[in-house]
Amino acid sequence: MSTSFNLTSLTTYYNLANKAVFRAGLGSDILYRYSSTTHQYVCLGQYLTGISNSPYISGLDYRHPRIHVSWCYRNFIQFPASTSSEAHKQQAGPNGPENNYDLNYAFSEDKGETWKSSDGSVLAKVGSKEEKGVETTIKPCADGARVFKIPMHSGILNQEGQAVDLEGGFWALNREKVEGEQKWIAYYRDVAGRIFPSYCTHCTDS
Amino acid sequence: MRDIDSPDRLRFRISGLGLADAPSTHTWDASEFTATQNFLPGIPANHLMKEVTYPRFVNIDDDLLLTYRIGQ
Repeated sequence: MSTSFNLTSLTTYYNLANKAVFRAGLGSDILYRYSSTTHQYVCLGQYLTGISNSPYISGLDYRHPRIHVSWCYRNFIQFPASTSSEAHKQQAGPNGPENNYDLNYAFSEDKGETWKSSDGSVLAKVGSKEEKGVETTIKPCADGARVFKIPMHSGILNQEGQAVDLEGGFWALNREKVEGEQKWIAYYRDVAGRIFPSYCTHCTDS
Repeated sequence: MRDIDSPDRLRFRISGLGLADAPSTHTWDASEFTATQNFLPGIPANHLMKEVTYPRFVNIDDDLLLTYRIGQ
């Protein structure tokens, strides 16, 4: 896909953005759980909430006892045309995928109600675990949610891939500009929580 | 291209009990499913079901998670 954009226009949009009031919760993610015994759904809650941005998950994967989720954010810049109903469909600046940034990660060991960061601290509790004084959603900049700082314009895409391996290791796939070149990158978190990127240098995106 | 945002109301159909456990004993056609509905079993239609994109189902042992994105 093309991620080209007009730098002059982008600068203009940024200037407009400085004067604009950001809208909260532009995009968010809702989680339900269906029970095989009651045959009904319950709404656990809005476990990811965007504020002047939108979280886009790479996926949600389960291997007992953990559910793993990873996501990037897409920054949202307010500009006149962004009030149109088509604005969210933009694929190039100012609100296209070049505004994607960061890799975030959380896991749950209670079927999606308590969400923890990679280091094991609680990010949010939803559903029956909601608790006074504890966040009921993971907001942008939640302490510990970000596992890789990736600036905007790095070429990362939303909705790329993720998987959990047989040992409970977590993998996410995306691409980044490395020394000016787009490369596929597999990010890996082992069960102990060590996270590191592994550059897949033979998979250059052409 | 992975950006497929086009927020729209939830559309949901669910099969009758037993279909997935014994598919060969069923005709496996549309009549095995409910009509298209704008709500989930157990949860009436509400504001969280008006702008749905990127739905995903995930098996959790015998249960199932459903997640989707809301908003623009």
